[in-house]
Amino acid sequence: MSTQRGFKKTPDKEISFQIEALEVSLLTSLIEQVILLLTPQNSKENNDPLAKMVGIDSTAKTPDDEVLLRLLPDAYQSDKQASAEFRRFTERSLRELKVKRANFVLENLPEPEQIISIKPKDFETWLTVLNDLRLALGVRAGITENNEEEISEDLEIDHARDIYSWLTWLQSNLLEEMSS
Amino acid sequence: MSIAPLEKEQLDSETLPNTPWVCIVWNDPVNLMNYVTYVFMTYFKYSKEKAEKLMLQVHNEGKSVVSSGSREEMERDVNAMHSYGLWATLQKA
Repeated sequence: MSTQRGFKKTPDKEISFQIEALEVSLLTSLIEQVILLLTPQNSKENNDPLAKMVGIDSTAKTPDDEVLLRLLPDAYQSDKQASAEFRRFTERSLRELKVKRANFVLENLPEPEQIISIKPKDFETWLTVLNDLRLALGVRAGITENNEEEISEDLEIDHARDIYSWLTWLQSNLLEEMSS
Repeated sequence: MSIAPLEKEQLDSETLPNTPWVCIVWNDPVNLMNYVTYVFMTYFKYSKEKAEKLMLQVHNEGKSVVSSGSREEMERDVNAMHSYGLWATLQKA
């Protein structure tokens, strides 16, 4: 039997997934970082249980952090007030959705040497989590339209670009298997 | 059928709730072309042809109007695009 790496459609329409131990720990660490970044800050002001229940966050504002801004973009291009209003009503639930999906993938990552099977209803969760990781890393690694393959003199950026390329391969692999 | 011409002021969304709004998806260097197509097909239920056409427009022209409707509908679409990680905004058509 050949060893499989990555995602593979199975005869029963699920997708099997297997990666190396090092890759498991890499994914774990990346997902944990994104969860940390996205987890709403529970300050006194935005802890109103009723507002929380209906998903309102009166303290939500355009993030200063570039990665957060890419994950939670402004909804209006040139209307700051409307963007702020939109955030108050949607940002908390968007953060929660992204964190929930990330946690799901985190909890279901395969152990080293283990092959897991992903059900069709969960394909999209895996796909969007991989996408969020690429968005986050893309900002940190300064990815632009044409520089993905470039080698940076900054070792940290270079390393981030390697991980980014690997995530791109992983997400493309999943997309292909989903449509196969 | 004839439609009476409207004065410009009347086209303001505050006075005319039916003024169409659009959801625009912007090009970005991260989202994969086939992922963007997947999102358009999945969320908007567009055909593969239409989804690919819109995706290529985003890719080649920098942006594309992917849906139109009321402001509330477009806010919903923009929110959905953000949940998929696409860079989207809404504005008056």
